[in-house]
Amino acid sequence: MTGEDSRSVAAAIDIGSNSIKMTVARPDGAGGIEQIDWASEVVRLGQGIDQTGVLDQERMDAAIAALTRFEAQARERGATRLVAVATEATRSTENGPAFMERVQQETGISVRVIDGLEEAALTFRGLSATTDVSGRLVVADIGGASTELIVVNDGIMLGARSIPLGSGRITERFVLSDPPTLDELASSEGEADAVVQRAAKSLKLPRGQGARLVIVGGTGEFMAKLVPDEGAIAFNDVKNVLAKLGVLTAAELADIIEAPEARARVLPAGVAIVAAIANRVQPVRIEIARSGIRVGLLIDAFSGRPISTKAMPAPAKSPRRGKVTTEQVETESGSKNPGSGQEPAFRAVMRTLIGQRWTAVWKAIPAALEGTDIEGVHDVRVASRRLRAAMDIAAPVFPPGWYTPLHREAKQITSALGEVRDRDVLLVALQADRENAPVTEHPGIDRLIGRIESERVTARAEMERYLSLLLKGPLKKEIERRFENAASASEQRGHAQRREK
Amino acid sequence: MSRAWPVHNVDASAPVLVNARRVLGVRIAEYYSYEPVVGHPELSLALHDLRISTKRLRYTLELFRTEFGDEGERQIDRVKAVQETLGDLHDHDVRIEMIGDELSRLMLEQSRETRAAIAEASPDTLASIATAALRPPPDDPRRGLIALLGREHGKRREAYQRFRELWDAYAGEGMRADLVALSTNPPRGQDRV
Repeated sequence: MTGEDSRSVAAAIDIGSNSIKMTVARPDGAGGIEQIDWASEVVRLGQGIDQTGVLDQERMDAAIAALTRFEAQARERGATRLVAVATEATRSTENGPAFMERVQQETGISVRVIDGLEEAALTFRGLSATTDVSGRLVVADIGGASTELIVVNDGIMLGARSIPLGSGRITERFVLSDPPTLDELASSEGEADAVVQRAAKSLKLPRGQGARLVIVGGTGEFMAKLVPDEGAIAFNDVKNVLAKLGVLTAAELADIIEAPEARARVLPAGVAIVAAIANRVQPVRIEIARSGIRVGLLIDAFSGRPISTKAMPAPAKSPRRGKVTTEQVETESGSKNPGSGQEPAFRAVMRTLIGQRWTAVWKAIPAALEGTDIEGVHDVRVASRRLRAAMDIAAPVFPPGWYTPLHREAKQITSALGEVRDRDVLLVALQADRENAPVTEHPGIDRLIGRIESERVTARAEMERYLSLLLKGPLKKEIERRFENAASASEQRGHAQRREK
Repeated sequence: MSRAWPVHNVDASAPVLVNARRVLGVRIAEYYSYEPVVGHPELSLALHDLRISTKRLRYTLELFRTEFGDEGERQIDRVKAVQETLGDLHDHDVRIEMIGDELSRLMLEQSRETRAAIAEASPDTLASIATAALRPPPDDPRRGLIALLGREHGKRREAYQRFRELWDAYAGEGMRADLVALSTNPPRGQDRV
């Protein structure tokens, strides 16, 4: 960090679906931040987006007014830099980009719209600065329109997913009464449970494995005011809070949690989301963290690090595998100087086998992208599982820094296709079932087919985006260089040696 | 999903067959660690994990098929057959979950609609709303979903039965001992270590 950086003050703004929040801080000299000031306004920018698909004019005006005030406040506190990001409400609406342009024109603030994964990475970075992230934990950043779920093991982010589940969204769909009825709270929890359940599989959300659950965001902060002991929150405490929220009006709740009534109104749905996640994870305890995305943004700003999802913590070093170095592997395999090098027998064989399996994955991808035959997706999944089986076995004989990112990518391919495959299989079965079912059963089966087809369209779009990037991106060339080319060089050396003999 | 058991004693400079046997030994142990759940059809998550470990065992046998020879091919066929029956079982579990999920959504929507209708109804129409809610019409989508759910549970029971019969049949044939022999002895007619 430069001397100038250590004295500079910066502000980070997070434009969420419920609130817009700002933290003004300077570096603390130890890689963290020292907070100077903060501001928060409940704007409900995400209000009505599920029904209309667009940001409401009145809400956008309120957001711009809040941002204008924040900008002045940041300048007054000596901030020389201002970083701002917008999340789900802006990224998922038709007029989100136009709103960003308007913010730039009217306030001078340049806002970056970040995707769910980057949101999760920034949240985790901010959280790591203030919270013990050792052991197994699940982080849930509950917003107004989305929730970011992050699975962490000993400070390493194992996976993250942004799910369309937010306190504002749930409130609009299920909570009509004030105070909410028990039915409405149960429906909110049921919906949250269904969404979390769907994400749990692909994210490998731990269940009852000694994990802690860390709640980030306003829901956690306000919920903390309603539990007997914030330092020891158990699942039953969350259920008790939910029961309590069923008898308090938004105005009464606002008084207790010292928040605007509009914020209090969406808290029951937020706590229902906490309950659904806790029910799934079965954590040893639930913790509340007050440091998230804005701290992550400030740490990045002070360190001069480009804000990107790539900047995740590096995998822990394994002393067992640390014996092999990248230099050694590149030299011995001849991937630096083709034709040279002499690699240990097993590693050379595994390199060839892994190279062949990557080739099988590349060959299968075009048919999956074409989408005319459902077996295309299945073939990529099978090829990626074969690849993973080989890579699992060979992990100890390659250096982790050189190998782990590619190993992780192999796993990612399998899970990126899982949602589509499940729906492909289900649709085939449902169509067959429908043919033999009495006509009175058709409306129910058709309803389910409709839902699955629509989910499949979304899942396919996500899968196509991922696979296209994979085919065009730099990773493929790197894999070819490390495994496929080196494997063919090794084969050629073998042929040459046999000829000499 | 359970993680693959790590193989600690892989040696980069050892012959392939030596490492292949070490890996196979671990995969066999991982596969049979699920034996206690085989008799419990209700443990769908554990049976799903067994299916994943079956795939790992099969892919290990396939990866080193040149090392394991004909006996390895015989084991691949057995493991593949077990994997397929577990795959069917898992497909039914996925369907049951999705149908149940849709049914919950539908019932939630219907109860909300009924509540809204009651709130707006005049006293003389209340009785007909209650009757319609309690006796849904023949084309109510709930009928199809409930019937579908029932059929899926039935098919799942059959799928489990097929898996169980196959598992028991292979156990009777000594599949475990055959696999262990493959991970400890050289293939017949070969002695490459």
